[in-house]
Amino acid sequence: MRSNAALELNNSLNQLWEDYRAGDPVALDHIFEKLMPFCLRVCAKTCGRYIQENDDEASIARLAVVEAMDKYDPDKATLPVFIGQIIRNRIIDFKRKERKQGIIPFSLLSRDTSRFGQEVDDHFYEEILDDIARRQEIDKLKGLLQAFQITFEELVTLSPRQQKTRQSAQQIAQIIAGNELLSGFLLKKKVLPLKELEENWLVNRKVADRYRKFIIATVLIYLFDFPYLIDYVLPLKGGQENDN
Amino acid sequence: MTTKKGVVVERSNDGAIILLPTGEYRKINTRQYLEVGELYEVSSGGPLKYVAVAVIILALIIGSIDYYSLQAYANLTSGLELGVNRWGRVISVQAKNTEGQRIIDTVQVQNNKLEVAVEKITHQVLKKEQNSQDSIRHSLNVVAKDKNNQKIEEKMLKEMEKGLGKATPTKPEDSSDSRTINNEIQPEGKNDSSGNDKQVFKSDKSESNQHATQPKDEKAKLHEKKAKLHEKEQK
Repeated sequence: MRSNAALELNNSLNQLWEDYRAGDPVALDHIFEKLMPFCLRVCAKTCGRYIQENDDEASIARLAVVEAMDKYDPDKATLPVFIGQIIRNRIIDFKRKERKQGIIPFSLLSRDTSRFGQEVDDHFYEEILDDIARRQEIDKLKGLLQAFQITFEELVTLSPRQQKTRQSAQQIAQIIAGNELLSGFLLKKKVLPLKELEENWLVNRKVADRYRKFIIATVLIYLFDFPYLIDYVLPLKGGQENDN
Repeated sequence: MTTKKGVVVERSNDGAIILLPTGEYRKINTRQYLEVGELYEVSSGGPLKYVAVAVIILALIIGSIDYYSLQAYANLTSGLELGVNRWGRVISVQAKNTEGQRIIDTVQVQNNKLEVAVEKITHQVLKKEQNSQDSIRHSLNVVAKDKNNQKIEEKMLKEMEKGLGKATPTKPEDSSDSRTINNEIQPEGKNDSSGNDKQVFKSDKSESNQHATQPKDEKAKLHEKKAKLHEKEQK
């Protein structure tokens, strides 16, 4: 799963990098557009706090991207990893300079600054890419849930506590997702086809009714393309594959 | 404690909502820097496991303290004093003289049951001194740490006698001896049964005395009768 996001980004970036080297003036804009979430994540992970596009660190990241585009050698590393390394190094340089000059922002005083001395491997940047891909899925799911007036906050309180109940709720979700009529009914009417489920699938109505919001959220993950999140809601694989 | 890697689905200032690999949505409180989509390790089990571990450790500590607390001292021959806990296990061995020290050096009785310890020691003593069987029996003695705890004294004595019995197979003629040992090994005024035995023994004696005195009385009566008849004849 991890390589998917990294590969996808790598391929598109390579194309853009070739365009940039060929002298395409718009290529850099496209690169920024594609890379900005990644750059901000690298900055945030390096600094240990949230970084927004108008922060100093974000500007340093932009300059680092340009530098990386000029220095990149395809034989040495993948483009996202190389860009990540340059951004991280420039951020660390910036922080050290700040410290020498005595300009220490309040936000930095309470934070662990030892992170700047830590070395990271390529895995670090790949994980960031995975985080970004996961975030995109979560944002998409959040939008879908809004149509059903369901929030993640509600799912915390409405999730079955018992593993057995959770499994049976997930099985109900699988039944709905696997049947076009049932899933069509859910997406159209925004409610669970309880009568159908009870009569034709001998589903426990109590479970289906009590945990309907949890079931709907799970159905949406099954129905729409969520390769990262689906592992978390599978009744049998869930809790076994991802335990490590 | 097992840890699960959940994915952050929502974050707030004081925590985040995590989707766990089991499909469960859980709210966590943390000041850690987290972003949506990031993986977060959640430890399952929580405080209940800590409580269980604490209880087990506490039970072990209390158990070991209780195990090593002396309840009675069993005195044996050769100046050996065995410290016994509430479960009748030997937890300390002390030699009062060189002979006792010699036995301690050869026999390992620590943590053994009192019965087994007595058996081992008796075996060792009998190997060297052939005629010390009686001396061992006579020197058996138990003193409870708590003077009011007579039950433990009786229990330990029984176990010691069992051990002694195993080490020295009893002969039928010895049955009367054992009773006397029982009387002798009890600390003074501690065993009521010994007193009863003595009383029984005493009452037997008085009965036998009665039997012995009976013919004497009859003879005296006959003498008196004869004397009276003699007086009458003289008259």
